[in-house]
Amino acid sequence: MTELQRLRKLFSDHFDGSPWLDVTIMDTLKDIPASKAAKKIENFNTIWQIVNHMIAWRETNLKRIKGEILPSPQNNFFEEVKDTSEEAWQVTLKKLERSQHNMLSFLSLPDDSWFEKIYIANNNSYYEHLQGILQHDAYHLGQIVLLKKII
Amino acid sequence: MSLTKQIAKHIREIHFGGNWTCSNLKDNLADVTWQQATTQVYSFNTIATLVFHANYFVSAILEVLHGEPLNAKDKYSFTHPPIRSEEDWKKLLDKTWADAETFASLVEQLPESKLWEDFSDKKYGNYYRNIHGIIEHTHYHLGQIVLVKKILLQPDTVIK
Repeated sequence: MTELQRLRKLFSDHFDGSPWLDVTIMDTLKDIPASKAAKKIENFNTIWQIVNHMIAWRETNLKRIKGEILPSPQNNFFEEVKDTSEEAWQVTLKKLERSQHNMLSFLSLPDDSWFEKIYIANNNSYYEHLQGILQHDAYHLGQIVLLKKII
Repeated sequence: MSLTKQIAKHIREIHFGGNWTCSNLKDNLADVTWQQATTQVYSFNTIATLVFHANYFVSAILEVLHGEPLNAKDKYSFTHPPIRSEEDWKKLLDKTWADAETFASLVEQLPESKLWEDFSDKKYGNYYRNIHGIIEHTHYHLGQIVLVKKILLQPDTVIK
């Protein structure tokens, strides 16, 4: 197995497979309705805002690895969710699934010569950008699991 | 960079900083007092319990890396000695940092072939899966620690 294949498995397990962590993104989100995803607790980001933030960073890092130079936005992709309907929540979840599909498709390519390339704006390797997404997802998944308990 | 060095880098970064996510345990815990660390909000584990829990699995994997059998049980992973003073809290933190550094040092010295061996028992998967699992587990609970800390710092915190 190559490191590319191993990364693909880690991404797959974390999303909806059998990770070491025993908690997956989709299992955690699947029974959260829009009303709960949009519920504000104190002044914290809502589950919906966190999911949007995760999607945005997944898409951004994948584009960076493909060679685009994209600045980090000042709001760190934490934005108000205006349409909080159930339909809009399902669109968000589809978007998350699409980000996963795009990630897995990219990791299915045989070429891993880009691993050591450096993204000039932050001096991290492209490999770090991928591991970073796995770690970023885990970090926010931990928060979503807690928020889910109190909404 | 070799794979084991790369993994060791991630172990150090989640504990001490430098990772892409820009969030690490040491910085986030630097200004947490023992009283804050042991205060429960909502029904969540306290910060001290989350730190103990994350370190519990690092300690367990360290024993295996030292050639001892795996001796970890989920049910014990949240049960820590009482923390009743700043000294108790510092003791837990010092152990966490020391174990993290030892863990990183041992991993970077492993021959890459070791990563593909079964970790203690075939049912647990190989070393690669378990070491990555520990790194992601620590990120998972760091996210929770940061959230609990934010709640604690709210003026009208719901304390249970």
